[in-house]
Amino acid sequence: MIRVFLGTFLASVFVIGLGLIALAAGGADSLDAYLVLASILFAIGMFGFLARRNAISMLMAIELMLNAVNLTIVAFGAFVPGLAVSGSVIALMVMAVAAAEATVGLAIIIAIYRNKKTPLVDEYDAMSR
Amino acid sequence: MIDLFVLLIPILPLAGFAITAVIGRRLDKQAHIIPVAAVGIAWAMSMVVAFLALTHGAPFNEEAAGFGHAVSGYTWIPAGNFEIQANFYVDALTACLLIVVTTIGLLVHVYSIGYMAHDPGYWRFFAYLNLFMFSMLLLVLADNFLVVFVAWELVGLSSYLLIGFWTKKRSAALAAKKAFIVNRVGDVGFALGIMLVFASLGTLNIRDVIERIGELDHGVILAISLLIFAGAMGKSAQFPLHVWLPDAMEGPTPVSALIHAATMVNAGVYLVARTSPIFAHAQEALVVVAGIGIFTAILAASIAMTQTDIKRVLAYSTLSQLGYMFAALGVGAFTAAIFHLMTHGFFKGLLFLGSGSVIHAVHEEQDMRRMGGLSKKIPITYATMLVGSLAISGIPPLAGFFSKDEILGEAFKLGFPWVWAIGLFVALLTAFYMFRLMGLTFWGEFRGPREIWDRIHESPSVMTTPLILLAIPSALLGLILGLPFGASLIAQWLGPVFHESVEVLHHAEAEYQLFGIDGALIGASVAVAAIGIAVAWRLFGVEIRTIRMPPRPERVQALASRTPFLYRASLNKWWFDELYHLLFIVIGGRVASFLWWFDRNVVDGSVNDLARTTIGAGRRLQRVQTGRVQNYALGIALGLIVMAGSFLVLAGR
Amino acid sequence: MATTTATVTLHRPAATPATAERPPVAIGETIPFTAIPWGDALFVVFAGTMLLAALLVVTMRDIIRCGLAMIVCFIALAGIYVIVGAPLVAAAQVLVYIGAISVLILFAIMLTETKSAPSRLVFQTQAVPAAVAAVLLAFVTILAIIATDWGEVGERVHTVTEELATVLFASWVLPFEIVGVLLLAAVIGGVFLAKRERSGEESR
Repeated sequence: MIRVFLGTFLASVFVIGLGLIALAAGGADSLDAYLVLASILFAIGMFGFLARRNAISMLMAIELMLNAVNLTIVAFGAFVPGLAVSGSVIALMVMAVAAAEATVGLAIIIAIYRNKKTPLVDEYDAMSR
Repeated sequence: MIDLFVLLIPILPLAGFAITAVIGRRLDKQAHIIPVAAVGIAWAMSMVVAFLALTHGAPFNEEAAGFGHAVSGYTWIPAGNFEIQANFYVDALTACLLIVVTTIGLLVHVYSIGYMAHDPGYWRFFAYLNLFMFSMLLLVLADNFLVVFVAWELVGLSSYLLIGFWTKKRSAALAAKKAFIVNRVGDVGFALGIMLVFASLGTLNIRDVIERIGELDHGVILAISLLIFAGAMGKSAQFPLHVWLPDAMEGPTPVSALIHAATMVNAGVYLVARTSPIFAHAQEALVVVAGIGIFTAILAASIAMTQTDIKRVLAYSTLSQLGYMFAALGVGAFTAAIFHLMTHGFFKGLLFLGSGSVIHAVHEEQDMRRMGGLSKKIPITYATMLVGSLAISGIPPLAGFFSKDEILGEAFKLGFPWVWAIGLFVALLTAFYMFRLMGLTFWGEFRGPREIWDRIHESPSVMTTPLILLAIPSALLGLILGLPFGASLIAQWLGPVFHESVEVLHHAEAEYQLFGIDGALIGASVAVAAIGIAVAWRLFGVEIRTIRMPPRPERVQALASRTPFLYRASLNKWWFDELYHLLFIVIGGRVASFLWWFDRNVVDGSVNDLARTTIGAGRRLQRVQTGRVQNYALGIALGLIVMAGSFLVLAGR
Repeated sequence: MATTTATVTLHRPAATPATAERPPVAIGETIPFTAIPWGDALFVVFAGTMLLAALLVVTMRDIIRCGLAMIVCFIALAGIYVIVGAPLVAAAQVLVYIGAISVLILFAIMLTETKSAPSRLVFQTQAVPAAVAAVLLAFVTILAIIATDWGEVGERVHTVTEELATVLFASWVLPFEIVGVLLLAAVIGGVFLAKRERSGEESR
């Protein structure tokens, strides 16, 4: 029980901490804040893509990266005059494309899994020396 | 017409060589017909051409051209600026050489029919002989340094083929190799000289070079002359390149007669004579020529005194006489040198062919210690060789007297007393060793095995006829060409040729004083020769008509033991072969091994190390290719960061 | 109704401007008893949740929990979209990402799950360099963002959905249709790739 409370407390501290960091860029009304947020999210996604062994984990990290880009587009749409509607529209397109890509990617992973019997990308080394 | 003759003179032997080389094996015993015919016709044509050239008949009658006549051959190398015309040039000098070369060549060919009759390589011999004739004639007739060089090398090649004719005999093969290599050393100098000529004058035509030689710097002319002389030294076996000629006696005797007495070794003398204007402009070179020549003369003569092989004695004698010729060229007596060249060709050829006859008679024995008393059994050979020996010793009225005396006289009068003195001493030695040879071979008692003595017979007429034919000019040529003193026929012939060289050397034409200085010099030469002969007679015996003296071997022994060092040095050829062996084979061999080690380990090693490094680097770099996309993606990410970062940095600056 | 190529008539007689006023706020601008505006507070919460969830996605061992963390991340992101003023995008985010993509991913996890427990190693050998690269990238990007002068950046605007719909089906209709075709292609491709092959027969 105490672990639950401790965990929640730590989590909230962490959350507030991260959020304040994000806020330090300028608050909810500044473009910079959203852009910074997006870039941090992108970096996290890139780390996940390069560092995970399971192919599906890599795909989840790719989704994170796509979302970061989406956020950037929407942020620009919100703050730059004249881009308001375009930002949202482009974001919708990106979302659709992301969905398509996730579909095909997962289909490929499943096909490879059937062949190699493992979802770990370490083992996909037919191209190595 | 004459032009055609001039062109045919070298071409005929070449054709003879080609035809004999192809079908000679089938002709076998008849293989001599075509080569002898070729040389015979060439001889006839040479006589016609020479006659016209020496009597200034057409087309040799232009005074402005020095009574010479150029025949254009064909353009050998037309390469823009560098054009080599294979032209021929004939003048009195060429004529003299043509006479010597073709006459002796023809006689040697005829002689070989008998001498080589039992040899299985009969047809090969004649093919090579014709090749040699072609090369020599080309050399004599050529008007372009490059053609001369080609002929030079061809002569060397023919000499190699002929010395090593008996391919099964190891000593012959080694001697042939030695001859060729030592020749080559001289040829390097010659080639450098040619290059220098071309670099400074832009032309290789001998006529043009001689005309324009005055344009050049003195130092350049000196260099050119010394380099050309280096080539002559190699071909004519002057010190220090003399070591090949005695060994060349391993070849058949006709080869020794033709190549190493009468023709090839004269090529060097001819070259220097032909380019005498170049030498005249660089008098230091002439002094060098004279010095080396006379030194070779005395060196060779000293060795000849103790040799026991009959052909070796004659070989060293040739060296010595060649030394005389170069000494003559060096002091500026060009005419005398060519005169001696002609007479020497005849009597040395005679002596060699005679020695061949002797060897044939005693069934291939060449050591004089096992001969003796042959005068009773082979009279024709004996008589002709006696004539030859008298000629070479310089006894009047035979040919050698006139030419040798001219050389010594000119040396003295042109201001080279040391040359004269050494030459006089060499004349003494020459007379001595020649009559030593005669004594050991023809007089006294036969010292060989009894069975051989019973089977000795005179050679067939095909061999003795050339001997007789050679004895005639040996006896008479001097009288024909050398008289009257001071205005001799030979001087008239060769005067225009050497006219400008003599002028450059500023030699005054002195009046000939038969009863003055010239008479004294003649007397000195004759006296010296007589002393040498007398000493030889006392030691080795003589049986000419009424002059009879027994050989005294014990006196010879006593003399030898009283001068042990000189005797041993002479017997061992002054240890030159050993010296060269040490220098070039031993030390050179060490240097070569070191260089081989160097090449293998350092030169090849560095290249191999480079290769190994490349391979190692490649192997290490191979590990980048993991085949995993994530690794590649990390690379992309890092690259992206670097690019973005540098953009930031550069934009901020 | 008269139609022009550029505009579409609406049912409402009155044209609504693209950039509308902000709807009146019933609960006040700031959190009671503090001076923190609601916008900032919510931003902080959502942003923090999002980043925490993202970190969990890339670092957790159990892949199903990673998927769930991803869902949380998407929800927070939707919240941020609302704060920015793009409610339609937020709705689409929830529908598409959480409702479709995350489910898809969970299905795929189910299909590729190995019999044994999740593998021992979570990370690759190159995890540390990857982390370094990620930190550097974030650093460089943030530096670039802060250093850039974005020009005339105005107030945060709230996108009106009707205007969005108008533009989407008017000027953006071609990309819209193409995206539809793309989705079709993706669906067909996915079906084909993931199809179980019958042994012995290959249907071409």
